[in-house]
Amino acid sequence: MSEVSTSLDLDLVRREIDEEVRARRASGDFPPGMERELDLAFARVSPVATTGDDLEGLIQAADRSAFIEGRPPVASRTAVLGLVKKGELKLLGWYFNHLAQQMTSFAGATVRTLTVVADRLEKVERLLPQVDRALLDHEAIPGLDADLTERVAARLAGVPGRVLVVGDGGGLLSALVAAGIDAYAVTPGAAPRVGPAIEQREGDPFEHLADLAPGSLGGTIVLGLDASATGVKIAHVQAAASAIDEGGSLVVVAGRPEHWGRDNPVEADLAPGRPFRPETWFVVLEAHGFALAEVDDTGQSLLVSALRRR
Amino acid sequence: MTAVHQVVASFAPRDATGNHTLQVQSVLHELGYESEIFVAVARPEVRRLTRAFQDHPGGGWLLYQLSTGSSVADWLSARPEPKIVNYHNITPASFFAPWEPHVGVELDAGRRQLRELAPLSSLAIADSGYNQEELTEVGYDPTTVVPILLDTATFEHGVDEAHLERLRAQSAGGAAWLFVGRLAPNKCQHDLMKAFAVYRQVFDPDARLRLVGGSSSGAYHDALLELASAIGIERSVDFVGDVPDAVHGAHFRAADVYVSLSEHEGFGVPLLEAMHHRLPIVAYGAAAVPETIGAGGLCLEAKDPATVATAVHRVLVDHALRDGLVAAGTARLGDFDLATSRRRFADAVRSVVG
Repeated sequence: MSEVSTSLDLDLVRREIDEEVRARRASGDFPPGMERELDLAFARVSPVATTGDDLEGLIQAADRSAFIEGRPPVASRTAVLGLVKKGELKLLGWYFNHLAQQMTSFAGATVRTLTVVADRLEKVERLLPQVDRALLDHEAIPGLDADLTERVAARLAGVPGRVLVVGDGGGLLSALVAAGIDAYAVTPGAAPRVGPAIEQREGDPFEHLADLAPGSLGGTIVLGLDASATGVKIAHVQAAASAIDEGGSLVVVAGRPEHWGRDNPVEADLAPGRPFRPETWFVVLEAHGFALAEVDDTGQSLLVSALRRR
Repeated sequence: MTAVHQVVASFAPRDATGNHTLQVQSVLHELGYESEIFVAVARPEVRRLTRAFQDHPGGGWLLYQLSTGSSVADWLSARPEPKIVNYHNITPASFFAPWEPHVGVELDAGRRQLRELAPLSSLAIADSGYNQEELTEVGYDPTTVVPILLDTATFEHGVDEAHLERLRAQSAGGAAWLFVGRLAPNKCQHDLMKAFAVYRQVFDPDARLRLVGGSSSGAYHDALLELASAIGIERSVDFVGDVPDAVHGAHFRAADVYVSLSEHEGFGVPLLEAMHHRLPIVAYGAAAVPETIGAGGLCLEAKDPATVATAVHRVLVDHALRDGLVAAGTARLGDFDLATSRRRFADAVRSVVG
């Protein structure tokens, strides 16, 4: 090994590059959707089995290629060759057409099948419990009092990177920043500003979390999932598992199942989901790449936290 | 005189396996063995150096250069002569199957033949530790590692100066990325294009990407062309294709950085060529790539476009890092010294042939 190569600390360079990527993602140089758009662009030109989940785009691509042209091109740079090709075509034309009709028929049936599948999926999506958010809006994001805020900050202290607050955590966000944690929040609507130097973004928090590059967060705190369907809660955990770097923390502030139905009768009846019990959080977190799960029962709510496994 | 004949599925000039086969023949001759090259297919330019495998006279040892599926392997399995396998890896069929199903079938056949030859072989020589692991997994014993026999002097072919000037003029002040390798799904030129698109958008709108190498899949090639257009880089990506040696050299000389995001390489000769031409290397650390690069380039653990674009930017603006990588690359190249590798190959063969 040469002196030159040993004097290069490539591990340090890689760490610095990772840091720069995180900073540029945070500053918006690398918007969350940018890389996904590139992935989708490639998925649209790839065979179905290769990559991508853009069903509509895939069906369009299949539709475009479903028609098989049975007549081969007969133009030629030399007139004589063109005549020969036309002659051959007349001889073989019926056969080409016969094959092309069968292939077109097969391809057309395939596209039609895909379209029917897509329509049915849309119907299923429409039938999923949809509740007017206004009816659920008074769902308590359980008591983010000073004590709970302090506990959350303690769980996120020293995480290896930025912390994303998913949900309406205005007060919590400013408390985290005041505690020296590099935190920012994404909320579905315009949230009241909590401080001039505090980063609050407007957007779909889950989409933001799911679009983040693997390992780009030091931690995330998720609030307001109580009324969400089981699949939505698990999807949040999966997205967090992808976005959080090894050793980072996931914190969930959730309602206590025992109190939730009693204190929120409207949600209990209308919501697609209900709060998990502590045992369920342990199972879900363990199953999706987290370790050392802890559930802190504050009396009014559960503070669930876990470390991203190494 | 003891005979150690080589068996090759496809023999071509200016091809890493082809050059290696000729070097091996020369090593075998130096050891005093009779040695000819028996092939299933040979390109016309080199056909005179070979014989059809069906013409093998019988007797001696057979040394098989294994890098793909071929009917010659089935023939070899049925032969009574003692065998040595020299393994250069087989691209997993899963890379090709969605694009070129028939190639996927050929590659699957190669993997089957690799397994079938294991109990029939007296020795297997891999050109990387990565390849050796695969050999061990399918039952080869004993195995050893000898790097591909590579004469770096062949990198020093004359450079087409006029072409070099054109390439430099075309770059117009922007960074020139280079990747050399056939257009193939496992080489992941699509990932290179995505990273390059981000690099142009964030760091250098005048940058160019040059992809040198012929196509191993028409469908994949078409998809790359469509992708370039879809993400707006069609005017800044050059699909150069196969080029003569002098133009090949001009591309290395005109580039600012060599970037590889390949997911499957059994060795990676163009990486060494980049080191020879004093190009800094940024590469995704998959398969045998980290082992080939050693400390001679920047290996990344992830290849998301943002990380790759940022890494290339860092290498190009941090001159100390760039110079360090170039110097480390030059030093690493020394580890593949031809004389040393020839000696190791000779020792390996002698250990079983005697």
